[in-house]
Amino acid sequence: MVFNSLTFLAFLSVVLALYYCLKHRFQNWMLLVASYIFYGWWDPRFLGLLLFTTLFDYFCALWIDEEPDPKRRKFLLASSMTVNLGVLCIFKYFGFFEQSLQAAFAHLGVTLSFPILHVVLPVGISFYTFLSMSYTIDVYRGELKPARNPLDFMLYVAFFPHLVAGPIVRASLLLPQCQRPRKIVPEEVANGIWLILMGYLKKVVIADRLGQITTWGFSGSLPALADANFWLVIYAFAFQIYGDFAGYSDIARGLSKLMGFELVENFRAPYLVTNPAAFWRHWHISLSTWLRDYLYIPLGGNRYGRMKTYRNLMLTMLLGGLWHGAGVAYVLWGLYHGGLLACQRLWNDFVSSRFQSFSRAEITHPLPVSTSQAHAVMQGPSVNTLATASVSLAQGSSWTSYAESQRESASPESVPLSTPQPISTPSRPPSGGDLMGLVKRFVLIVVFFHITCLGWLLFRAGSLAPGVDQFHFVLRSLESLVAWPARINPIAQAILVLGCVSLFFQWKFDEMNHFSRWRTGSQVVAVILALAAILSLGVFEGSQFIYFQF
Amino acid sequence: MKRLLLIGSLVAPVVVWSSYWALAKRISAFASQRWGERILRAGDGKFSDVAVFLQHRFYEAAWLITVTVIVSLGVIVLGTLIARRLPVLWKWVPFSVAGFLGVNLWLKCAFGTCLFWCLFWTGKGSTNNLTQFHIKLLLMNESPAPLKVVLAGSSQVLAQIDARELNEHLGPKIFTTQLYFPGNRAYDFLLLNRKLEGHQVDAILCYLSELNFFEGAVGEGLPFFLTPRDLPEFHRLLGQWSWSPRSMGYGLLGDVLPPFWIREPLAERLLGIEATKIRQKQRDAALDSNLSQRAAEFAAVFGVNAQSDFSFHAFDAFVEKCRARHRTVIACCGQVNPVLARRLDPTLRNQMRAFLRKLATRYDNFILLEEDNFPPQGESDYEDLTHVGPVARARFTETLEPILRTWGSRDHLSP
Repeated sequence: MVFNSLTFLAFLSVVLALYYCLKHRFQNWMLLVASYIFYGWWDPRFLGLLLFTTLFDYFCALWIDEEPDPKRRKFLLASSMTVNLGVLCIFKYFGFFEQSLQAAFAHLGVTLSFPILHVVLPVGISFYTFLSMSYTIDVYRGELKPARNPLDFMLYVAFFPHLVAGPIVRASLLLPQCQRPRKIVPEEVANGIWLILMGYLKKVVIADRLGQITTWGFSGSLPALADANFWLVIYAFAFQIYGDFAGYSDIARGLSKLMGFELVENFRAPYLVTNPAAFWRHWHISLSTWLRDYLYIPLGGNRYGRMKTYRNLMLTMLLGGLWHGAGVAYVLWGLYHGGLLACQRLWNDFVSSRFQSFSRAEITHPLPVSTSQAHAVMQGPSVNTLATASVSLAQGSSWTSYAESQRESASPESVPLSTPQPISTPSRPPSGGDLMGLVKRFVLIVVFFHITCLGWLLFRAGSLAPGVDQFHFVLRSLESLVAWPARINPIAQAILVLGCVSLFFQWKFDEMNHFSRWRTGSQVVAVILALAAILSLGVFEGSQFIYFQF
Repeated sequence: MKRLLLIGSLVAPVVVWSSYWALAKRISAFASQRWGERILRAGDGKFSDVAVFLQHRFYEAAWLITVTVIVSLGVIVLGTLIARRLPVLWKWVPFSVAGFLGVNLWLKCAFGTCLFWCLFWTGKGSTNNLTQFHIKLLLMNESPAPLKVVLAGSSQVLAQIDARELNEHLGPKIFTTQLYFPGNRAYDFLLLNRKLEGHQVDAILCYLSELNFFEGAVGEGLPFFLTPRDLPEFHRLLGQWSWSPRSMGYGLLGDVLPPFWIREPLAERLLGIEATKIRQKQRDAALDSNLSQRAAEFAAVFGVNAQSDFSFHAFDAFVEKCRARHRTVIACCGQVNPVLARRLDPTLRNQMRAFLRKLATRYDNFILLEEDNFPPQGESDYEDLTHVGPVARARFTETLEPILRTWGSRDHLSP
C-alpha cells in the first residue's frame, strides 16, 4: 500500500475512525493490526520476516537487560546483529556480493559458480532492520530499558507511517509513545494535516512530475536528449528525490501527529547548505544520525588522529551508500560523500586555520539552540519533549562536533548526549551578514548544490535496471554535462517552477512545521493552493516512492 | 480595512459593468481597426468579425470579475458564519473549505468563457485538446451563420478536413468547426453530443473508420467528458459486460472537482508542453520506423468483441439522441492507410459498413457518405497509418464542400 493511493486513503479513514474511538491499549492493538495489513498488502509473505526480526530483537533485548555477565551480553548483542545483518544480506546484498565475487575472480581467471538465489527485496527492510538494531544496541549500552510488553515493541517497529521508508525513529523516542497513553494535541493535529498536504504536494506534484522528466532524460532514448542541457535533467532528479523522500517523511510525520505520535524531522533545507557536513545534517537526518551514533562514533569518530578520522568518515559513508542499495554505484556515491566530508575536515584542519578570513564559522554557522527546544528538554521525558530533544539532536550535532564533545567529555563544558547541541542552520544568513556575506553565501550554496547534483548522478546510476552498464551511464552523463546546448530546452520551465516550489519549502522549513502558528489568512491560502495544486498538477498513477527500494 | 474591502467589492462590479457598457464597443472598434488583420490571422478562421470577438471578450472579463467578487464575498460570509463558533486554531478549516468550494465554483463559471480558455492557448498545433475544444465551441456560438456544423471524429477528421477552407468556400450560411476531441471512439460521440447541449449545432459530421469501432471501447475523451449523468447510459450500453476503466473515475472526479478537470491545460501552461508530453513523446519515439511493421503491431489491437459491440450500441444511441435534438448526423465512411487496412481483418470494414447502412435506413437524420463519394486515398497520401497529408486533405475538403452546400439548402429537421 502506498500513501499516494486511494486504497491508502480508505485504509487511513478506517484506522483514524477506529483510533479515535478506542482506548490506549486497544489503540495499540488496532494500530499493530493495521500496520501489518499495511505492510502485508504489498506481499503478505514478508510479514513473517518482519515478525521474526521483531520478536528476535525483543527477546534479545530482554536477555541483554537481565544478563549481568558482560561476555554473555556481548554475545547476545552479536547474535542480534548477526541475525539482523544476515537477513539484510540475504535479502538485499546476496546478489550484489555474488556478482562482485564472481567478477573479482573472473579477473584472476577463476570461474566461480554460486547457487542462484532470486530473492525479492522486501519493502522497507533496511529501515526496520536499522530500527530494530538500534533498539538492541541502546539496551546493551544501558541507554534504554527494554520494552516488557511485546505489543509495544512490535508497534514501535511496525508503526505504519514510518515502516517502509522511515524516518528511522529511535526506540528512546517512539517506544515511550507506544507505552503511554497519547494525548491528541489540537495544534499538532493541525500541523499534521498541513504536513500531510505538503507531503502529497511534494510527492505527486514535484517528485512525480519531475520523475517523468528524469525517466526520459536518463533513458537517452530520445533524440531530444541531445538538445537538452543534461544539467537540467540532474537538477530535475535532485528536486525529484527531495520531493519524493521529504514528501514521504512529511506524510509519515503528519499521520503520526493525527494519532498523537511524534516522529523526528527527516529533512530540513538540504539544498540551501554550503558544505557536506551541513548537507548531512539536513538530508535524511534520521539515517545520518543513526550512522553517526552506531557506526562513526563506535569506529572511533575523530578521537584517534586525522587519518583515522578520514578513514572513519569514508567507511561510514561507504556503508551509508551501501545501505541505500546493493550496487557499485551506491558504494561510489557513499565514497563520494565520504570524500567530501573528509575534504571539508581537511579544509577545517589546514586551510581554515591558516586563512582566518575563511573561518570555521564560514563553513558551519553555529547558532544557539532555540529557547523553546532547550526548555522542552528541561521539562522531562514527556512525549513532546522527547521528540523535541531527539529532533534537536538530529538537527544539531554534526558527527565531528559530537565526537569532539565526546572527547572533551571530561571537561566541565562537556555536552551530554541528551542536550541539544548548537544547531547549524546554514540556510539562514549569518546574523548581521552584509551584502558581500550574502553573495558569498549564495555562491557557496550554488556551488555545493552542483557538487551534490554530481553525487546524485552516481545515485541514479545505482537505481538503473539490472543489466544496464552503470559506469557507461555515468561516463555518458558526464560527457553530456560538458556539452552546453545551443538553446535552453523547454523542459527548463517545469524544472524552474517545481524547483522553486521545492526551494521555497526548504527555505521556510521551520515555518512549515508550525502551521498552527500561522495567521488564519496564510493558513487558508496555503491549504487552498496546496489542494488545488495537488488536484491540478499532480500525477495520479500510484507511483512508488523511490526510497521503498532501500 | 475590512470595511474598505467590502465597499470595494461591492463597487467593483458596478464600475466594471459601467465601463463595459460605456467603453467596450468603442475600444473593440478601435482595436479591430488598428490590429484587426493580426487578430484575424491569430484566430485562424474561428471568427470573422474582430470587433464582435473583442466585445465578447470584454463582456467575459466583466463577468469573470463579477463572479470573482461574488464568490469571494460568499466565501468570506460562509467562512465567517461557520468559524464564529470555532476556536482560533480551527478557523482556517471553514475558510479553507469555503475557499476551496469557491475556487471550484469560480472555475465552473470560468469554463463557460472563451477568455479563460485563452489563458491556456499555447500556440497553433501545440495547444491542449481540451482548451482547443472549448475555444472552438464557444467561438462557434458567436458565429452569425444560421447553420452550424461540428466536424467530429478522431484526429483523422483534423487531418482529412480543413475547416477554415470549408468556411471560406461555404459562405456566411454554414459555419463549421473542428471538435475532434473527444472522438477517437464511438462512445466519444455520445459524450460530445451531451457536451453540445445548450449550443446551436445543426449537424455533426463524423469521419468514421475502423479506429472508432474496433480499436477499443473508450479513448482519451472519457477522463474529461464523462459525468455522473452519463453513468446510467454507460451501464445500459455495457449490457452484461462488466467494465470500469480507471479513466472513468478520472472523468467523474473531474466533473466534481474542476481543478482536477483542467489538470492537463494548467500543467502545460505552468510547466511547459515539453515537460508534460514526455510520455507521449516516449511512446512516439518507441514506435517502429517501418510503417509496415508498425501496421502489423497496430492491427493486432483491432477485433470484434464486447468492446466493439459497446461501440456500435453507443454510436446508435448517439444518432438517436441527435434525432431527438433535431441534429443531422453526416457520417463519412472513412478509411485508414492501405498499409494498415491490408493488415486488418476485412470483415471489420464490412461490419462497420453494414452497421452504418442500417443506421441510414433507421434514422431520417442520418446521412451516410460511402467511400465512393470521396476521391480514393492511396498509401502515398498518408503521413502515417491514419493521417493524410495536406494534398489529400485539400482534395477531401473540396469534395465535402458541395455535399454540405446541398445539405444546407435542404429543409432541416426543424425543432
